[in-house]
Amino acid sequence: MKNTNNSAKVLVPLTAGLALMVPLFLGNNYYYDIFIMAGIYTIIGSGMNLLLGFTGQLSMGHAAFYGFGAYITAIGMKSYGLPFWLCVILAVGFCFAMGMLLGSTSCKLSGIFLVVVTTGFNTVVNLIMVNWEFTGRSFGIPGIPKPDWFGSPMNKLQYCYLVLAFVFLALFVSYRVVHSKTGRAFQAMRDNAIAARSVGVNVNKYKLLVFAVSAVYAGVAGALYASNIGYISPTSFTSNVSVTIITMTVLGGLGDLCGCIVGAVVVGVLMEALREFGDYQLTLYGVLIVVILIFMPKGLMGGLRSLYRRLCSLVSRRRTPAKQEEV
Amino acid sequence: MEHVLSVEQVSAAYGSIRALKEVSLHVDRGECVAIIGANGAGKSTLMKVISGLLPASSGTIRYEGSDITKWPTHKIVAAGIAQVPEGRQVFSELSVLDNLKMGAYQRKDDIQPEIDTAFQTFPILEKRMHQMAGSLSGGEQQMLAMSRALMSKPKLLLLDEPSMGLSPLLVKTVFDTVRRLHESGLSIVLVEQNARMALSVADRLYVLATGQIELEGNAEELQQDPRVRDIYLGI
Repeated sequence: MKNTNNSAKVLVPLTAGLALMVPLFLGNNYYYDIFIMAGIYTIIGSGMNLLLGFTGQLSMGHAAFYGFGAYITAIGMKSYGLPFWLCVILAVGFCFAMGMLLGSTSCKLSGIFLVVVTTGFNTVVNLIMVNWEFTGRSFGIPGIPKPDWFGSPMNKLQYCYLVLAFVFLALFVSYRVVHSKTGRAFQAMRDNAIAARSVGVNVNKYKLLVFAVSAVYAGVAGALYASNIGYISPTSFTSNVSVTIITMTVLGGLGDLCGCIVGAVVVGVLMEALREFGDYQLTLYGVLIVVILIFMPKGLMGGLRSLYRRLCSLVSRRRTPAKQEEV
Repeated sequence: MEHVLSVEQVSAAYGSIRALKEVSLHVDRGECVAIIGANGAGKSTLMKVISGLLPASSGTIRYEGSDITKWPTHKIVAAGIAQVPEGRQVFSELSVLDNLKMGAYQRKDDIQPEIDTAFQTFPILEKRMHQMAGSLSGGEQQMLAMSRALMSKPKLLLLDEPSMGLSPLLVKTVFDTVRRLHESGLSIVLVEQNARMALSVADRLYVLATGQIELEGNAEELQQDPRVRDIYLGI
């Protein structure tokens, strides 16, 4: 226990420092974009992790919330000339409300039924995007501006740091939630809903709350996505994207706060590397999930942790006989 | 004498199956009441209805004078009714200590004295403090489930089959604890299949069969009752 805490004291600033340094060395727009996407996936993934990893509810509708954030930002900035931060606040509010709405089904449904309802939600939202004049129909919305930075639009490097700031905020909020009394109640619900009720946890309230909070994460990610990419269309928010979100969360490690970073970076890079395979990517994700769950049930991060522990015990075993020789 | 809990004409159903048919019972302050009956008699259903996990289809449940029939479980827990659900429902992926903390979920004051009490009562839990609850043995999980329920400082404790699946020695430990809690003045409702054990700690007894109260009375009297002896004690 203490061992992991100590290593966290070193690893957290180290990782944060590394993340802060990386953009300085990327040097071209393509790499900036991969970095930004990895950051955006981390945000959305840590929201999904709260929902799926810590309370055990599966949402196939998160691409819809991601879409809400993106469309609100696109329309707000382009058509109404609103500043970026105001669009983010609007996205947060709207996604919270819609998250409550979709979350209310989770009080009555679980497992496969919840999957069906949330998939349906995603499909309906996507169809609205495709058919509504206001959202630019299937053509989408081009020409979304970048946020202003002291009077001029942000460049890619500055945008990297904007995303990074949101990543830190998302992870910090997740950390605080998970390590609070509420977080313990979340995990208690996941472990055993009846027992959680019996000790007085208002399970329905928390199910709603965590759904809404994780929807907010997705909404913020969507806002960052729209402003970065400059052009959005409904294809970026289909239920396939929801599958991708779940893939990286599971891949990184459910219920592991660092997991979503690893998952996001791996999936972000994989998506670029496998771009030419197009729709076959989904097949690969399916295979990946199965393989990961068989060999590393706690995800890549869980695998890394057990590897680290094994190394530690190996080192300490080597050291002990050496000490004895000295004596 | 004032009843801590009174169940009046309560019925409950799972879909079209009526599990409880107009059951009435009461618990006085400081009393230990046992409910015995065969499988499927409705014992656990009764517990769920009292704790608000299952809505009653008709009837009234009163606790310290207020009608709690329609209250949600978290409000009932806050009012002072703690429950040990059937089958050792611990939070298997939380540590033993976190399980205890969850028991005091609704409290805002210092919970350390109750944690100490739990560790004094069951020293094995202190040894396993940082272990995940799922890795405990069945008996240890039962001790944890009981300790967790007591963390809320309840006025009324509902125990659903605490002896289920335990070795005879552990059954004795568990019932010794129940007896001690009873002596300390806690009101207890104890659901059991192990009628002999139940009779040994309870003041009064209700016999439940096919969702109805078949017999009720003092534990000592019922021990002599031929029907109880035949069916539930097997003497």
